[in-house]
Amino acid sequence: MPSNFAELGKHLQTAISVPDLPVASIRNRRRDANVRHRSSVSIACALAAITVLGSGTVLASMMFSGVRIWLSGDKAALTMHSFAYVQNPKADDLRRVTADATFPVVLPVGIPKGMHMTDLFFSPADHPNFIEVTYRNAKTDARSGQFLLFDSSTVNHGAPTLPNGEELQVGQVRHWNVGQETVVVFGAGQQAGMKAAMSGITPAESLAQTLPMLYRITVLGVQDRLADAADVIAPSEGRTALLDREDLGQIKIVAQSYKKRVMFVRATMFDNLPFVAGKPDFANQRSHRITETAVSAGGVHAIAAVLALNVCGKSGERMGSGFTCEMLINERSGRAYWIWVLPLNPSTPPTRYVVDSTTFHVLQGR
Amino acid sequence: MARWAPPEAIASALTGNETAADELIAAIWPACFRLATMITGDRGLAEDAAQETCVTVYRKVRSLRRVDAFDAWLYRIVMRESALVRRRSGQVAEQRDQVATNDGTIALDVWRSLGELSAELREVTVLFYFHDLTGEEIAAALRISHGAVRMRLSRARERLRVLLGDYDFELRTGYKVVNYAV
Repeated sequence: MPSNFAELGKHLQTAISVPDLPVASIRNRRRDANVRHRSSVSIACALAAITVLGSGTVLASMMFSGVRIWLSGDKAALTMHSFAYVQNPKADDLRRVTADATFPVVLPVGIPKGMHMTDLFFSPADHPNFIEVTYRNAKTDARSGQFLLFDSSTVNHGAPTLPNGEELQVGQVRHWNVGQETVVVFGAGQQAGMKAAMSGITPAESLAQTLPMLYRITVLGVQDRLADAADVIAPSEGRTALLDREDLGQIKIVAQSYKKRVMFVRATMFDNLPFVAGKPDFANQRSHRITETAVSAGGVHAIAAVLALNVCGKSGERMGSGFTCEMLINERSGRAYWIWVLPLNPSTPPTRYVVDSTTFHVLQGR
Repeated sequence: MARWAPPEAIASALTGNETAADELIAAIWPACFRLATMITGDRGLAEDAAQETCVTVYRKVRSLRRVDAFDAWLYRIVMRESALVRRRSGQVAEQRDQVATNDGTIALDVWRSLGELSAELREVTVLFYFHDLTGEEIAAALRISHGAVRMRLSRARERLRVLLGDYDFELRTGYKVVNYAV
């Protein structure tokens, strides 16, 4: 053993045994990181024209639970210290959030065709007085913008300064009232058609018009161009999930793992979001996630059985980038698994496979 | 500065090729884990930090413009993630003795002496002595000034001399430590 400290340390470091590369764990962390990134980007965009006040300011004692907003012309300031985030919300999510809200929620209507609701923010999580929704076209990746819906009782109108004496910063927000709701959008473009459309509609009607814009299936990929096609062919019964190529690349590992299921993050709750210089400090936020099973252990084996037919190419690499398709799986208790192979080439139609739920033999494909 | 991965592997990953990114991750994983272990003193924390490092590399490697910027960039990430997991866990360095090595030896002298150093002094010690980084490179990796590196290194050496009087701290491969005396 060398007596030189540097040489000894290098020797020691080289001798540290290294665990195998935890591919599945890193993949899960990537997904979580994407969710965090999307949260931060969305929040940052939403707050771009708004002065955000940290909960540690003198306003803290005056804050409502969740959110409070100050509006004056095209200027705004906002306080917020906790929120919940749901990616690709489902009907139950939206129903629950709107039902629990402290105000009758009129959701945006007149959204262009082909759009799906991709993000749902609300604060506080139990009885929201603030809801934000974002829409996106999966095929073109176009976004229709963000809509911030507030309980009007949380809004201070016309105040040129905040209670702490600070002046409201220059902004570009547009806002209007619908019943007990204050709608905030960014830029005049979004205001034009939406204001009239939302004024002549009830909360129940707006919900009914919005539900078709939610995916019925669980979309595991962050941005998935095949989600629209998959949602159309998915049966109404049972649990259905769309797996992208990366997910498929992990199926073999998942099948051999202890839990043997594909999980996904249903919602992320940010309990205590600190703000530094007016920006959310996600590095020091406190959050917890609600996870659910997207594909059961049996479903994982069924997918592995279809993959073994080489109908989707071969993974080739760890992250499955060699696959030529994505897969949609439908699971119903005690029934055979239905699996659709969706080629990445949109001109090739999907193929359905039926997999026995006990033997995992592929019974038929058409 | 140590090479984390072959330049051609880094160059391929910079193009956004997912397969190349996989290969790059596989190449850097052992070194990331070992450095994180030296910094955190705990295999569990080190694995956590190394995995987060890999996630960051996956997500952001395409934003790098030059291959030669990769090493310094990766050092910054590993050090930041190691500091984060250590801060979150609230753990201190007493666990350092639990780090096992391939050959079954546990160099108690070095582990215990590192465990006696504060986090700040441990970081500069590991990077300077075990990774042969220059003062400028350490400053860049830790996002601190060159003067702060010198000061921390000097304090670390004073402390290590007390703990490990028999060891030679003056020479390092290709570099004179004496340059960092305050």
